[in-house]
Amino acid sequence: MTLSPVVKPTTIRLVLALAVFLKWNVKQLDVSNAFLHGILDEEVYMEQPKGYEDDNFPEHVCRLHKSLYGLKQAPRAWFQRLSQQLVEYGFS
Amino acid sequence: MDYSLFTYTTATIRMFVLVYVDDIIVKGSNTQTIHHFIDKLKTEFQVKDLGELSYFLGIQALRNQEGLHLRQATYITDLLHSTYMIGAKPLNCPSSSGPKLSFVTGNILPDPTDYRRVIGALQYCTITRPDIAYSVNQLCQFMHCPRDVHWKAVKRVLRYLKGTIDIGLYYVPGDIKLNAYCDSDWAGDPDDRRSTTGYGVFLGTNLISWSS
Repeated sequence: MTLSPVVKPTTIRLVLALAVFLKWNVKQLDVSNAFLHGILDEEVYMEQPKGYEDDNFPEHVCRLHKSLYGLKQAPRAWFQRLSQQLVEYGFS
Repeated sequence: MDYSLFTYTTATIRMFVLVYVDDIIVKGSNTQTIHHFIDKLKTEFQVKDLGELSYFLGIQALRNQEGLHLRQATYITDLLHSTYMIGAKPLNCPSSSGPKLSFVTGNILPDPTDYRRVIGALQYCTITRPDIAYSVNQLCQFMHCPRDVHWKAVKRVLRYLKGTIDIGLYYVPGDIKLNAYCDSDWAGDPDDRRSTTGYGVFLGTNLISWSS
């Protein structure tokens, strides 16, 4: 599962039209490094990054706890994380 | 149903959150609740508060006293630059009134890449441009095997956009009734005699959904 849902254009227009009608405040946010916040369900390993190898265990690989940019599951892991947080706040 | 729209409802407060990967729009009936929500989100993630909605997914949102203007002027200008059409002479109609485009007339383009790229960009432009929805939809149907006549038609749409860069949607408050209109041409397709349907859905006077 790698898909991250995106909002449909009609939803954007509908909600903005409603906000105009109701005279609501509309705010805009941007999450920095969003894909790094994702938590991985799968076991994913990477080679030790160049220049940061552990001299005692040069043959070891790193197991990822959190998502990285470029990972196949990064978009989905991020969306999962964010939507869980929103549900925790009482959103549905 | 849209999975990236989250709603928060209590007896007195409503709040909507729209998510596009890492871009988020928040709106609600209570400004304090919105700020409280943003602060909570900040404890969890590194969040940049971009203030009032102004530019989202390549769409500019301009608010004035009466309403909200949505337009993609920057996106369209970039597209005209990348297609070398920024200096083109504007046209006042996105498609010609002659016979409909067909699969069989004209010469096949040796490389369809540019055609597909520009059509993809034009489709993105239709988020705030119902006026080109029909022309773009027609051109989309030749994606698999575009011919020189189709490419000419693409350039026509670009020339039309050149003259109408600042056009977009304008939302004003009013009543909140939903009205939908639709029509269909009668077996209008010259290749397979299928009909093309068009519709528009209005919330009050505001066009929110359409197809052509």
